[in-house]
Amino acid sequence: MIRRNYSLFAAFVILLGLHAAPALAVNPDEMLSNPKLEERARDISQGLRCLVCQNQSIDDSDADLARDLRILVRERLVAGDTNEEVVDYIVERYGDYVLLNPPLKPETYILWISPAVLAFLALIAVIAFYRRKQREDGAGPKSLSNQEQKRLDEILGTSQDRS
Amino acid sequence: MIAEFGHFALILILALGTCQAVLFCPALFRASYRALGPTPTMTPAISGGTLPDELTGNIRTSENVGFGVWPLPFAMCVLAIIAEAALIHSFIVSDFTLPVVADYSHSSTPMIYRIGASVISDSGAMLFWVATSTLATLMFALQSVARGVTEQDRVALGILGIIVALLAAATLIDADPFIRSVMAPLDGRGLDPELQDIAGMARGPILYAGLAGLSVIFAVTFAALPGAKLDRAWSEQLRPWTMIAWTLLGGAIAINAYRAYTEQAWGNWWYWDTSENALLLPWLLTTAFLHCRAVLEKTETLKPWTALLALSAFAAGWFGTFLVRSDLLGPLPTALLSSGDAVALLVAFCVLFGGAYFMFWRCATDMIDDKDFSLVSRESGMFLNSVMLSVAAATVLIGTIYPLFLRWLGGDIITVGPPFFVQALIPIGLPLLFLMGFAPTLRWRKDGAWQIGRRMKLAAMMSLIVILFVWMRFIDASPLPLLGIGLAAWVFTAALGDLWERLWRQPDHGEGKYRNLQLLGPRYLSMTFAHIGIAILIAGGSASAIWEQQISLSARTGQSIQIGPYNLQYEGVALLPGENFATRKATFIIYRNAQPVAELFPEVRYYPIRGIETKEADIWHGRDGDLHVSVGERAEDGGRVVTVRFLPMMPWVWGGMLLMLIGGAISICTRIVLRYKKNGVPAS
Repeated sequence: MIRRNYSLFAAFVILLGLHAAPALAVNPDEMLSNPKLEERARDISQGLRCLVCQNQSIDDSDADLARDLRILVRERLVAGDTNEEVVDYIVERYGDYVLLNPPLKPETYILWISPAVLAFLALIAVIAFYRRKQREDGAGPKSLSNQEQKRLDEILGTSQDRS
Repeated sequence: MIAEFGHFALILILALGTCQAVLFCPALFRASYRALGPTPTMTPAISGGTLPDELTGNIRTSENVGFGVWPLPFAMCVLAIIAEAALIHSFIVSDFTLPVVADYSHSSTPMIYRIGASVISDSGAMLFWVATSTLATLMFALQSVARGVTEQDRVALGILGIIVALLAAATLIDADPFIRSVMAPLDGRGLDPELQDIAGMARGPILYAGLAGLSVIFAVTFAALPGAKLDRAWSEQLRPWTMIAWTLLGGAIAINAYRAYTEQAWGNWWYWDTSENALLLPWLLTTAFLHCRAVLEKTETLKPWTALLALSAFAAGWFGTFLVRSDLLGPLPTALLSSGDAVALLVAFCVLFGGAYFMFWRCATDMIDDKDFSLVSRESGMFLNSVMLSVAAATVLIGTIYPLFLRWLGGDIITVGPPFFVQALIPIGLPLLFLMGFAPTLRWRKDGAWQIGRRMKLAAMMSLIVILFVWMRFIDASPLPLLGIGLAAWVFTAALGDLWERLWRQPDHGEGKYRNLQLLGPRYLSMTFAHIGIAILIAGGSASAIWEQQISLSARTGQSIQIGPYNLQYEGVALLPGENFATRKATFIIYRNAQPVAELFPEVRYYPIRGIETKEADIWHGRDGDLHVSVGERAEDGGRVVTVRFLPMMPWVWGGMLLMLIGGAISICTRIVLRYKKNGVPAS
């Protein structure tokens, strides 16, 4: 058993040697020497999606594709692009899919207004609920509730059947 | 052969579930007919359903022992255990003729992960859901036998039978774990290293156990819809189920967050991806239901809304599971094009919840009551809270499925990422926190705004002081986290202040203050724990967002790294064998004020079976924050890539989550203890 473990270990060591490790997110060697540019690069990267991950930004991901995009962002920055130009450049190639924050345009209007619409509808419903309650409060002795009315109907109906 | 036994057991579960549905269906049909029948005068002749409760057996008596209620659920539960055991056995002996074993295991996979893989593999997870549902059915049957079986309990059991049958059918159609492949591979593909992690493996089973709890809530509510029998008894019956489901779902969320925090190696703990939203949705709705259920138990009001929440919580859980399983929203644009293997699950969803919502729609008007409570009252506080939570859940749902919706319309493929969820949820979350502060202090039925102001003086002062303090010390703090911290202080002070008020300011009835604590009861304590937990969680999350520091550099052995109040010394990397991986394990010694306080061992693991490398960050939960260290490959200049993050107050996030879970556990445990103490037997 022990021998087998060692052979497995040896195999791992050999494999490790052959295996090219994927890059760690924002490797020191990717970083730009200009701290201002680097900070802008990181700002941009945090808004761009790693295409092969679940909702992770390229700044967060250690996938190869994310590394390529990080390097691309830095290349464009060094070439003198503004932040918007860099993002446009990447969106042009990969589509809106790379943007973690969905852009505001006709296709996403529904998405962006839906939280407000939902909240508004909920507010209306709540106000209507309380107004109805208030009206009921004001009206003298309480009338029968639906339930009580139905129950009454049932009882009356039963007695009619029997008679 | 063993796998075939499991297969047979699963098919039998489907058959028995159907049997149970059919057996209890007369009750269901009678109930539905009463609710949906054309005119009330028609019903007595046909169903006899309008007789008083005393005559129809719709009353809890100990004489009504309900023979025949528990054998079927018991048989299903035994069969589910057989099926689970068969699958686990196949994993243990590495039976690669089963594709699910070949896809999730390898002869070198450690035993504990083989057993775990049997419940997290795609078809194994479905089987586990079936198993937890049968267990919940059995527990519910036993609970109702102990309390005396009513007509409503029979209907609920019929519905639980339908749920089990639908789930078993969906498992057999979509993802049958027991189908053998014709050509068995020599060895398996191995477990995805991302999943090889005890916490990661616990997440799925806990979620499914939570969903099973929700299925009981769903069934009992469904059964109570005809005739609008959502009364105090209904509410009391559901109390343990609500707490169990809420705690389990919360546990799954906490584990998911902690795992992301350690696995993803970047110190983030919530990504708003589909699987996380699928956890969050049922939790939000269960939280809303939990509050409304409490209102209903006290005052028998808000019935339609409570019923809707009960149905929707399970619907959200089921739909979320479908979304995750169908892979309709996978990470790659190409994955968006595959329909996935969850069609039967979707069809079952439509059948079950179509029926449930139709029934709700027909019965809702009967449930409306005229109990009055003013806008400023405890009822209102809980009601508004549940409305806000539902709006939050709806927002999360829309954000999750919007890319899918857009694709159906023929639009571009887009991503709805964390920025959307944060921007959309903060305007709901902040008022919710504000409400959470004073709602527990409100009086039932009617309270005055001025009284609230008087009671909340201390909390308001406290939150202002905290905001000012943070703002003075850290001028560059952005307003939102600042507001978050302020509101956290508000909730925290209010919860503790209220506890203090109730313990010490009340007359002590001559029996000492301990008696006051007893009088408050486990429910109040559990609520206080949960609210304080939320406050601490929010404070920790906001603070770590403001003050987070990160250093990424190429380190050489012996180099020291300064971050926050800590000094890390890098001691180099060792190449070591693991169970089924090789690891490069780095050693860091942490110093604070030149005193060594801890050692950290972040790793890079290489799993040769899948050829995948994973990073395992190591974390030190210090007094003033988490130190999150991860290592990478060798840098070009010969050093080792090291990333160190200092996340101040991050332990508060984990502590807050823990407190909320403890709150849930208090409610469950004391209930059990009290019941045994009182009766000596587990009865209501």
